[in-house]
Amino acid sequence: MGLFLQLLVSGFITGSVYALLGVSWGIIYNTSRTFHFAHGLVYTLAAYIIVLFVELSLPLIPSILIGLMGATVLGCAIEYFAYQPMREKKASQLAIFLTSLGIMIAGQSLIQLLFGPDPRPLKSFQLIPISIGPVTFTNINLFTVILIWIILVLVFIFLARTRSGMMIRAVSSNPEKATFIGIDSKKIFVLVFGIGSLLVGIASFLSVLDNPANPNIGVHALLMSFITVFLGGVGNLSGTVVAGVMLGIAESVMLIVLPTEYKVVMTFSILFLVILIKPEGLMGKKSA
Amino acid sequence: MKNWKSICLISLFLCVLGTSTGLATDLKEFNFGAVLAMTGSGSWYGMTMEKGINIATNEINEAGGVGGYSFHYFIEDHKSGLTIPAQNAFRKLTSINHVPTILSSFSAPTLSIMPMAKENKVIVFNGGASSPELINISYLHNTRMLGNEIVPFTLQYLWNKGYRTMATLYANQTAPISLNQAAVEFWEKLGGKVVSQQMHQTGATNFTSEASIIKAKNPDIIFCPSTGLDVAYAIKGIREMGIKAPICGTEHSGDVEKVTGPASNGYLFASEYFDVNSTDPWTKHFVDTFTKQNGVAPDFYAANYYELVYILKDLVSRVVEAGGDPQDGSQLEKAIWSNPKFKSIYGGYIKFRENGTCEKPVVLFEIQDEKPVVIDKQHT
Repeated sequence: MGLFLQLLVSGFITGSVYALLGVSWGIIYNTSRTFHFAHGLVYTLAAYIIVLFVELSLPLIPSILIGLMGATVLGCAIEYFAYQPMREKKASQLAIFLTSLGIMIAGQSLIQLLFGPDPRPLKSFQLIPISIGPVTFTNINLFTVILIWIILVLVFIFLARTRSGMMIRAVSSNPEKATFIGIDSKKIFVLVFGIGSLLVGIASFLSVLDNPANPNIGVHALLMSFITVFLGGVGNLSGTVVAGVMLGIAESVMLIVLPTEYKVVMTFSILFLVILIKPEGLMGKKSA
Repeated sequence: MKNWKSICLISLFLCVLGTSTGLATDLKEFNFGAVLAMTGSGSWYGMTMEKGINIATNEINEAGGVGGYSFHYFIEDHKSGLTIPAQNAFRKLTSINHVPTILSSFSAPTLSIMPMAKENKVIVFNGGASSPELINISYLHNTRMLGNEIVPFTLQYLWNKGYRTMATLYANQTAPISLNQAAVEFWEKLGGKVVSQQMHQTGATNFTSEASIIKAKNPDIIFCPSTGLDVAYAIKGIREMGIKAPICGTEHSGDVEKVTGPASNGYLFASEYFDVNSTDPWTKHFVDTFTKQNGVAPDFYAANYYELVYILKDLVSRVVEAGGDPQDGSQLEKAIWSNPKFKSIYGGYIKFRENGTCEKPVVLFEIQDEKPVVIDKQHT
């Protein structure tokens, strides 16, 4: 029982991170239908900016703010200077995807060339294990979960209650109709890229509190981002959150019966099974 | 007048060209290759090994080469243990660079190139990998102490301290898998119990699940023969779960503490003992040169590869003295067995055994204040 509870809590912590990653990518994809592969680069860059500014003796909070700003600016810049011109020239989705992939690979390689392959830790926190009964987690885990859920709630309130949020939902639901009623899709796309990049920047800073930055951290983050979106159902951010948490818990709890080396196999097996049984995702709607 | 000026300039140019070409033909080139981890989670190893190779090569060339040969090396990247890049590297080094010998690292890449090495009569020297599978392979010579010698030393120490149950956590790679097997066999032979064995993906950074299972099994010790940063993240994950059992392994790269911080304190590992404070003149020279160039003292990986280049120097010298061609790997191989003892950067001599291993002093390190400290010594 103790092991089950520990794995459940560990899975919930991991699942919360997956939920944030999924929402960060999902808000972009749901609205613009752009397979934004370079999202991983934004994640990596945010981590490096934060670590580098702390290494230059800037206090942590300003370093984090600069990192988040950097992530947001990069995401918006990629949309404005790369994807939008391609859409205007009626480029195919494949061409946009390949461009995004190219930006991701080139960006990561550049980071490696500039900063080397060595891990860059953020030496600001002492990890303190906290035990409640049979369950142990750290102070960083607790902070991560609390912050993520606050942010997710704020994102949903923003989308439901603000004018910009409603415009995003309108474009996401039907871009052509949204244009007819006077919503500038291009501006909305930049906005969602900004929001998505800010969210992935937050995920990155939470990660770097606990683990060093290295040029390849964006790959796993990107993978979990879009797995969570497709698992939860494209177009449904609530589904993405549920899928993220479920995936994190499933990955963890299944290890009671399966060897740990099957963790990665499990992630893709769950995705495969869900898509096979319900192609629209756990909470997605069937298209007409 | 203009014509005379042109003729003079052209003549001068031809003289310089002729002179420089002439100087170059005084020394032939002895080319050798190195297949190292230059990228990926194990890149720290590749970089430190290359530094050792570079210092030795420069010293040999500055001293005028050996037997009429200057030394030149080509570095290729196996991306921290991948076999396909290692095999591609082998093909490039042999077919384009025509090397008769390769300095390899990591167990899986080394094993993957050995069939081709044997077929092409290319000698491979390993100064970094530790898998027990590297024994008894034709044309492979290990200057690194292998797991079947260092693992029992570590586990015996812990057994003598009264620990009786062990959990293992190892990467899905050739060396960690074989080292895990060696450890389990030895521990059970002592009478101990192995309460869990978990394999993880190479490059994993989140060990929460694995640590949860270890915590539930409550072992006395944890054996983690993973390499590079894998062992660092494993130590971190285990300590974050509040597990206080001693952790031991077979590797400690210089960037472990970047991940673990003080969590690595108490980590135990055995390896050959490269004493940076040795008074041996050659050792001291190497330590001083390395420290001056890199700002830190050399580790045993850099020392092993520095030593390997000097072993190559001796082999080239032996082959040339015998009137042979040092660019022929089979002649270099023959030269090893004319006298398997070579001067060692560790002090004294290193002696190759017929099974491909060597004799070297081994010590047990414990991380204290984030630095490795010798706590026990053994000569194997």
